[in-house]
Amino acid sequence: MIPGSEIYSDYKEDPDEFLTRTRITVSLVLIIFLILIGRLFYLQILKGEYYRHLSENNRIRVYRIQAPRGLIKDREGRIIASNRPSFDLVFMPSEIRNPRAAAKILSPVINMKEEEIESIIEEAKEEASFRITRLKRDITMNEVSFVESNRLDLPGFFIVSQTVRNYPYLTVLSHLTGYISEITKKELQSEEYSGYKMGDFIGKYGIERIWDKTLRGIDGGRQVEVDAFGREISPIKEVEPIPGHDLKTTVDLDLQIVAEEAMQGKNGAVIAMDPRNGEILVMLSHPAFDPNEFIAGISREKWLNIIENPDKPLMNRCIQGIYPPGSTFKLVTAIAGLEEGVITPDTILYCPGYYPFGNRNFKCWKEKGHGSVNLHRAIVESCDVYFYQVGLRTGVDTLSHYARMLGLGVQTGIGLLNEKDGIIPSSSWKRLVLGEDWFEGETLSVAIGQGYTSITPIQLLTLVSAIANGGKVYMPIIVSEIVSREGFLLQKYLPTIVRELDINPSTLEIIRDAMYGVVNQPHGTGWSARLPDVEVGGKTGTAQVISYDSRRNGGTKLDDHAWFISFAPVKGPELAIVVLVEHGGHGATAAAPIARKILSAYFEKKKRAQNDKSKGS
Amino acid sequence: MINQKGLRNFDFFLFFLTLILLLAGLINLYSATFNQSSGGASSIFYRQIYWTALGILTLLIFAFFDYHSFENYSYHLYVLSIALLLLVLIGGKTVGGAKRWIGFGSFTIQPSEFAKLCLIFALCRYFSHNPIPDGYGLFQIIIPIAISSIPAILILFEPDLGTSALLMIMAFSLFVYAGLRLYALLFMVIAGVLSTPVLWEFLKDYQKKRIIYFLNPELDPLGSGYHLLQSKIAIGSGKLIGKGFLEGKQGQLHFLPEGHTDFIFSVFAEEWGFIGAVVLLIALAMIIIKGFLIAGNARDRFGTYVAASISFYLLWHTAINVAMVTGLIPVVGIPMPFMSYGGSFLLTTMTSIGILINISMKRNIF
Repeated sequence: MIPGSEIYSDYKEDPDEFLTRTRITVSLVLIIFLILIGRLFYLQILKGEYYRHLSENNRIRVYRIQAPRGLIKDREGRIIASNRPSFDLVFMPSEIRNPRAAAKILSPVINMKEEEIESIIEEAKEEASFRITRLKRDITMNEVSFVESNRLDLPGFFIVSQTVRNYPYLTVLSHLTGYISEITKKELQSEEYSGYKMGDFIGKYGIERIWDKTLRGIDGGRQVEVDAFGREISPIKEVEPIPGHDLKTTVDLDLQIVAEEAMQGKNGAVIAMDPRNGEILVMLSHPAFDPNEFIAGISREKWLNIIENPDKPLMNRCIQGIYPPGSTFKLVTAIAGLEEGVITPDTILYCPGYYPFGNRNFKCWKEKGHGSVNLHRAIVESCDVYFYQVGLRTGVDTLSHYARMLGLGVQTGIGLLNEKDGIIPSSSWKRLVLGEDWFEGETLSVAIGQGYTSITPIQLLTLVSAIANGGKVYMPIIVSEIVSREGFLLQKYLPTIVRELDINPSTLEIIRDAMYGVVNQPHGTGWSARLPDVEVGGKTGTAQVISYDSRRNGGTKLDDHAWFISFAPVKGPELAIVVLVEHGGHGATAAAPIARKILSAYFEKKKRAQNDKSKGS
Repeated sequence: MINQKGLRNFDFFLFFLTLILLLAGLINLYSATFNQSSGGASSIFYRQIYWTALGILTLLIFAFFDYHSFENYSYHLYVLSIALLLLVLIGGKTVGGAKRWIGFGSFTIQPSEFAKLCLIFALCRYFSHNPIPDGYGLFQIIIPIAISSIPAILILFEPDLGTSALLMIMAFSLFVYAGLRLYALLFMVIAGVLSTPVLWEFLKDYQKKRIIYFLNPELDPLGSGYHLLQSKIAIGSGKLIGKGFLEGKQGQLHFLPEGHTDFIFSVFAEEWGFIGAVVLLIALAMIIIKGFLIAGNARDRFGTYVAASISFYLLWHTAINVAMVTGLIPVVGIPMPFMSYGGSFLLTTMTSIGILINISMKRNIF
């Protein structure tokens, strides 16, 4: 008798209370075990001979059938990232008895060191001796025929056909499409890539990276029975791969190529947008790289060349390059001055070529001075002294407010990785970051886009688009549609207005008019962007790489960065362009002609299309 | 507490059957982990010997330790198991993308195994203290559902879909055993079916993919589909009398993934054939049937529910594991009692057999 056991109140009064349940449960057990035994009977007795056969020969081989990766197309459907067929040399580690002999035969043909081949085989034998492992990808037809004809001397080796990503335009679209390459061990372990397998190719950069899951599809596979020589006897199971979806981008290949040619030999960025919807038509960053090089597994030497190149070819300058905006910022200063009422379009200020403030003279770029100028002329001729004074009247915090409203100093949200913010200084920013109070003298630099101010080209593009379209800040779009392989539209990226500017339409009208003057009026700094039959508006900028003072001291020979921002036509803008040429010198001479080439190509193309249409109808 | 009377009532049938199964498990594990190149047993095998010894000790302790103590402490144990599951999620060891273990140096435990037993105690206490002769309606079953859902959801987050589902199946079996009204039973089944598409929408793409493969491994011929094929080849090739000890090619050549844990039965069936596999299954069925008989004859409801729950626990583990390695149901990572390698699981199994023996002994004491 267990002491105290009487305290339990749940004694069963009727000992047979659970009798029915016992019967049911015991029957359940019997039924389940009969099913299991029946299944064993089927596998071991009825199909035993078949499975014994499969196990004795040990000749089940599984192949992955790579899903074709989705294509990337330009806005007119031209393919900018495709797939081409290729062959891989692979092996079944368990079937290679003599790695050294195999290495000796293969080494001279496939151009790999004997020791390298041997160590790959040994490692595979140790790690996964029944997993088909790749020795070399994308081998030539000569290599293929050598392996096929020496099959008996190379037991365990065979060739599988695959597809390889191909970027037909080489460097032209590299930052936009990005590239794919083999998944690393580290990536395999991360949460982002759970479900991925060794040997998978993944997008590492650009659109390939961001839309990887859309593009990649689902791999299929085959289980086949093979004989001792690796020849297929009979298929056991095959699952077709599901191809990835295609992406239609907003890029115009023709304009992109024009931009590429115009930027030959220069470093910088060219980026163009339709101000009516935020679609990016051109996105070019120089220097570029050839995305095809990353696929075959880039050599260490080449990789170091790219990584250690001081010009940073992997950086997408459109969204990652941060530069002082230079005189293009004067548009912001002008808008702030008009909106705050500290100037009117008719306010006339005098420029003797310098502006004395504190104990120094702040220079105008034109040493002789502009004389008396109103706002329109100040923008057209880019008078520094005029905007020093407007900046002083509004104060730095007001300038900062309008700059941010127009999209400067914050990421645009284009959706590519590592977009940069840049800096739009204000008094509170300086206190927070540098722990110092703001000096009014610094406001002068900010008013003409120098000093601490730094922004990315794409931010300037949203600014000029907003001025052009009457005050709407659009989210830049690079991918417009996801389309299935069968051609069904799966997703459409619609234009998104991030915000409507709280700015008088008449103010923007004044700015557009002045930008027209920059290109088309006498003494306008942007004359080199002029087109014969389309009205172009623009603004030049020259971003100082180092301050005037250190240049005077002969500190460096580096030229300034040249900016040109523009839109056209002035009435009903369809295209906005930002060009930055690093160390290009003046905006007017280095950057504006590039913008002109793209604008010209755009309108010629449009005219051609209209002609074709009228001819057709 | 171990007196002569206790010893006389000791369920030697259950005890010896357990020992035989443990022995079969060790012999099979030796073969499954046998290292051909060194010609010796692996460290896994020696570790399992320690676990087995510890397991037998555990069985004896629980056999002679009044199970009513669990009744008093069942909620405390339950809370403790939840705390351990939370600890796994916060600071657990990640293996193969899932956090399932807590490590103490080189020694790791899998709290989800102990959670199974603790959940059993908590549910049994609830049902035995709240008897409703006409069967439980929807409102009376809400608390047991909540008690079962918490650990199931925590385990789901590890993620360990198989164990989580098993926990729900065990709980549901006990609900039915304790007596559910028909409408409540139907309601739960329908609610379960209807909520599936809703839950589906909350999943990320890779999670959906994992579940699709899990439900249909044939779609993943390189991954789980390949494992399943190899398992079927192993079992089938054993034919009537098997290939003999250490002769199983599929197991020996490590074609089988998880050959020492989830797919251990395939190794056994390959080497011992249909006859061996059927004898093994019959031994397991005898233990489970014995468990349900003990449940029916227990002198109090708590004992009945605990014994029935333990029997369900053994039944579902065995049935799901064998059905999975023979390709009847999806591959879900449920181990096989007495056979699969794993300390936490073995200790849990041995604890439950100990408690079964304990309940069986108390039956005759009036």
